[in-house]
Amino acid sequence: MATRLAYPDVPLFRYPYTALSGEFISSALRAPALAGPTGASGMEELLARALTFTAEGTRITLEFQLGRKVSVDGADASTYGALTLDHLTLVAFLVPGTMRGHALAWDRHNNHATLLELWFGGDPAPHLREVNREIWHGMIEGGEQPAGGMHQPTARCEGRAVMWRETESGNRTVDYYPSSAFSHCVELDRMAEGRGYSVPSDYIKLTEDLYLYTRTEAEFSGLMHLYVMDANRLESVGLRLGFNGIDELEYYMFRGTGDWLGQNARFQSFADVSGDPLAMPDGPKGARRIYRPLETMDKLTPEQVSAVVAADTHVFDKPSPMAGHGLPPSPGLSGESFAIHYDDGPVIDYRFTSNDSLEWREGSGAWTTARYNAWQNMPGVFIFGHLLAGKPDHDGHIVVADLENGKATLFRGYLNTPYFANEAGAQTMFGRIVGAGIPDPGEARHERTLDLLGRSFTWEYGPGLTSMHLYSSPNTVSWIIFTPSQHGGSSWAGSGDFVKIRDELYFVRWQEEACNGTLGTILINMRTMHDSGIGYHCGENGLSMSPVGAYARHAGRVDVMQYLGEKTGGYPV
Amino acid sequence: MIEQATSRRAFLKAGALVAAPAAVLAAPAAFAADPSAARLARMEDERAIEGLVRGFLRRFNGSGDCAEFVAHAGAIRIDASVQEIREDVLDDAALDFADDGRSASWSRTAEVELLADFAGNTTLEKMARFQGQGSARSQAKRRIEAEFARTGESWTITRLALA
Repeated sequence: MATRLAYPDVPLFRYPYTALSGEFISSALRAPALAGPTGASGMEELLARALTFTAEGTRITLEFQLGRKVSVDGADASTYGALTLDHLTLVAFLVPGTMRGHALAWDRHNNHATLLELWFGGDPAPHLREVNREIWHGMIEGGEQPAGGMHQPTARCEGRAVMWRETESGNRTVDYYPSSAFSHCVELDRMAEGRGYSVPSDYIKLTEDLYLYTRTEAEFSGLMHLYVMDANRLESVGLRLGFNGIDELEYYMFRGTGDWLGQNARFQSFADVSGDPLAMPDGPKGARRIYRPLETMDKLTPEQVSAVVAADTHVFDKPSPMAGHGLPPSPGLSGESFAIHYDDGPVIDYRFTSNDSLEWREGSGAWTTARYNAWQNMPGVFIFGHLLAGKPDHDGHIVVADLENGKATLFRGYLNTPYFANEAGAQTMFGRIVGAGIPDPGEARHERTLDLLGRSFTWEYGPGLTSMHLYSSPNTVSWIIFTPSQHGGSSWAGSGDFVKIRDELYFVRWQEEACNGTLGTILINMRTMHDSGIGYHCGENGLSMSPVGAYARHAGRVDVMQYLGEKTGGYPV
Repeated sequence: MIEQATSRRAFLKAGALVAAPAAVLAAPAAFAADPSAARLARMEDERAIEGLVRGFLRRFNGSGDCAEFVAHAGAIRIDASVQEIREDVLDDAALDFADDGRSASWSRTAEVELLADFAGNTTLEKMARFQGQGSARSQAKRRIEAEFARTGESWTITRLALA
C-alpha cells in the first residue's frame, strides 16, 4: 500500500488517488473561493470596474471591487488573483458555492482574450477530482476594437522544452512539449524520482512571444497547472488548481522563470502551425480526447495468466504490424553455440539449431527447445528473443549479444507482477559470452548510458503507424502518436532503461505500465537509422513475443543533463 | 504481409465459381503450318490475355467479383490490404507462351493502393484508433505476375499475384 503523500513516492500510475465526492470538493473550495488564490507576492489589483468578455458562444461580465473582489454576472463576489506578464494579465478566481472557476488571459495591448472555464469533473471527466476546461477565444468589450486575429491553438510550441522554476515555492519542472495535444512533465522537487508523465495539454498562441499552456493530470491527481509563458524572456505567470495526493486543495498563482532546454523537430507540413489536433468540436462542453489507457487494458489475475499462456502462446509465428518496416530475421546464429554468464545471475547455455529454433539450459539443467528469431542490425551484433518454458513467471529473454567483443545484455520480461499479473515486468542484466572464437571481455560490460537522454526519434513501423519516442529522463520513455496531419497527438510514458552496446548502437526498453502491459525492446542503430526489436505482451489473447522494426528519424535532442543526469534508471517498479 | 486467398471483397465468391471461358480467342494450333496464320493467332492470343488482365483489374477495382476471369478459387493470391491495382502503362508487359501454346505467363509493374486497418491490440494501433484513425492508405510499386491456361476457345487466369 502506497504511503499517503501529497506527491507520491511511487509512480503516479500506482498511486490510489481518492475518489473525491462532490460534497468534499465543494466544502474544500468554499473558503479558498472567498479568500482567492494564494501564492505569488505582488498580486495585482485591477483598476477596471468591469470587464465583459465575449466570444462566439459565450459572454460574461466580471465586476471588480476594491480588495480584489470579483463577481461574475452579478453572482456573489469572490477574490481573484491577477498577475501580469508584460502586457498580458492572467486573472483567476473560483465562483463561491460552486465547483467552478475561471482563468482569463487578457492582452491589454489589443483586448484579445482567452477565457478558460474550469470545473471539477463528472462531465466530461470521469472523476470528480479532475479539472475540466472549456476554452473560449474572444475579446474584452469596450475600448478599441482588437486588431488582428484571435488567440488560437497552435503547434508552434511543439518540440520545445523548458525547465520552469516557480519563484515563490522554488518548485522546478522540466516541461517537454512534444505534442500539440499532450505534454510531458518531469517534477524535479515535488517528486524526487525524476520520472516523467504524459498528460493532456492545451497550447494557445497569444502573441508571437506569449503562449498559454495547460496540463491536466488526468488519470492521476486530476490537478490542472496552467501558465502564460514568454518564450523570449522565459518568464511565466500561472495558476495551479486541484487536489494533490493527500486531497489537499492547491489553489495558487505563481510567477516563474525558465531555462531554455532546446527544441526537437516537429513534422507537420511546413505551413501548418495549427493546433489542437485532437479536438472534439461536436463533443459536449469541455470534451477533448484524453487518452485513458487503463480503461482499455486487459487486467488478468495470475490464474488467468496461467490459463491464457497455456492456451494461446505465440512466438514469432505471425507478422506484426509493428514490424512492417523491420529487417528480415537473420540466420546468422544458426549453428552457433555459446553460453551467457550474467553477472549476479544465471548462466544460460545456447545451441542454435536452425534459423528459428534453439536449445537453452540454465546451469546444469535440461536442454529445452524454444522458437526464436534473431536480427543482426550491426555486423557482429545480434538481438534475439525466446520464451523460457517452465519458468513460473513465463520469462521471455531478449538478448543483445555482441559476438565480436563477448558482451551481452539481457532484458528479462516476466509476468505475475504485483499490480496486474499480465503486465510485463522487466529486469536488465549484463554479462559475458563464452564460446569458441568469441573474445573474453574480462570485466568489461555493456553499460547504462545517458547518451539518449533528451533525444527524440520518430518511428514508422508501417504506413500510417508512426510514433515518436522521447527519452525524457534516465528512467522514462514517452511515446507520442502522430495524427494523420503529423501533429504530435496522444501520448503516454513508462519505465525505461538505456544501454550502450557500441557507438551509435543502443539497446532500449520500455514498460507500458497501466497502459497495455507490453514490454517493448529495441536495438537502435543510429548509423542506419533502423531498429530491430521484440515486444513481449500478455493479455486476454495470450502471451506473445513479436518483432518490432521501423525506420527512424532523429527528431533532435534537448539538453536536460544538468537537471536529470543524476537520476537513476533501470529499476523495477 | 499476410497473403490471403481472397481479396478485400471476397471477390471470388468461390461457391459460385463458373469455369467459363473468359477470353475468347480465335486460333488453335492448327495454323502451325502457316507462319502468317500462326503470327496472327499469336497476336490474337496476346490481345485476348491483355484484355483478360484489363477486365480482371477493372472488376477487381470495381465490384470485386472476379469469378468469371479465373480458373479456380485459389488462383488469385492478392493480399487483403490491396484496394486497387493500376497497371503501369509505361512499362512493357512481359508475355511468354508455353511451347504447346496451352499456357502463358505475363507480368507488368503496377501501382497498388493499400489499406492498413489498425484493428490489432498493439498500443500504437489502440492509440491510433483512439485518435480516430482506424486505418491508413498508402501506395506501393508492385509487379503483377499472372499465369493463364487455354480452355477451349479462350484463356483463363490460373494464378495471379503481386510481387
